[in-house]
Amino acid sequence: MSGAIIESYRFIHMDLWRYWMFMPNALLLSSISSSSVLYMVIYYTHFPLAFILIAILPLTAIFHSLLGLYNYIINYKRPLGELSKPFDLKELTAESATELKVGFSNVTEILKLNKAEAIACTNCFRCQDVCPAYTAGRPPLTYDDNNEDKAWAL
Amino acid sequence: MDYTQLCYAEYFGLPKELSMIIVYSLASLTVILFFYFLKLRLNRYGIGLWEFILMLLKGYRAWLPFLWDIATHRRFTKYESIGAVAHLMILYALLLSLIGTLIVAANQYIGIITGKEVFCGYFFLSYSLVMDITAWILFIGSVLGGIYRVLGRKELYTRNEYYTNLLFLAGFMYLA
Repeated sequence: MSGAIIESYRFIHMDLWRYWMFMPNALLLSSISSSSVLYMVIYYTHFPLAFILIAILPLTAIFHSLLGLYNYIINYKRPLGELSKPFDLKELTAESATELKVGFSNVTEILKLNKAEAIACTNCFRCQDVCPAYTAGRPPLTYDDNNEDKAWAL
Repeated sequence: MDYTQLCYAEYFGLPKELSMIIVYSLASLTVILFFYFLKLRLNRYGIGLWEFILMLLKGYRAWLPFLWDIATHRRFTKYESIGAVAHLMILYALLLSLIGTLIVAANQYIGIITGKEVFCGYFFLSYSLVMDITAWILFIGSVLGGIYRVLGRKELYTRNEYYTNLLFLAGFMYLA
């Protein structure tokens, strides 16, 4: 609303009535936009709010707009939906194999690239929708904001 | 009035006060804060800021498929309806707003340096119409996004993200 009101003030100030077809929102709000006090109030809230929203982007879920590209780079040319092989069963069950290791036991073992890949998740829960384990009655995907940082900082 | 002489008025034609210049200068502070918060967030995961930026630059080959996916939202629209449409509307509205902001900034800096404005005539009028349409796209997209968030995923209700997303949508509605 504030953007349209600022435009409307400009519209009145510059006497642009004959060009209303190019500025229909300004015409619509012209009855309330003649006040210079309102213009100042809107001015001092519109710009700082826009600046704050831009500045705090990395701290919010909107950060995925940057990390999304990161995710594309990591998975470049990997076919959609293809899963990487976490382990080779034959190798693990071979007589020479002494240790069965699947996944990570500590967060420090996770590569930085994989960490960034995980942060890029928007938690849309669509993976849960198609998860066979969840369908079979296993607990849903859970997430604790308060413990996220502690977990990653280990 | 000769439309060719008609130019965008903000810095040149509207009331000016010292505090308004201070508000303008906050833009540079925003950039500094953005990178500070980016560094802060990345460091939590043991990733350096330069490391992150270099990775983005080195992976330039992935930009095109990424931008194509973003522009079409082909994956998002495949699984969601309201959410995907709202996301698409907000994205394009913000993109058009960014272009508008860049034009206005260029107009002002060129005006200050050369004394002649460039955002004039039919260019100014036609982009004013684009921005009017953009305001509605952003507003309706934010309302749809809000509906999707409130009525959508119940799993997200316990998360901080759920509330920050709603605050962002409210902010977009105010800025439209």
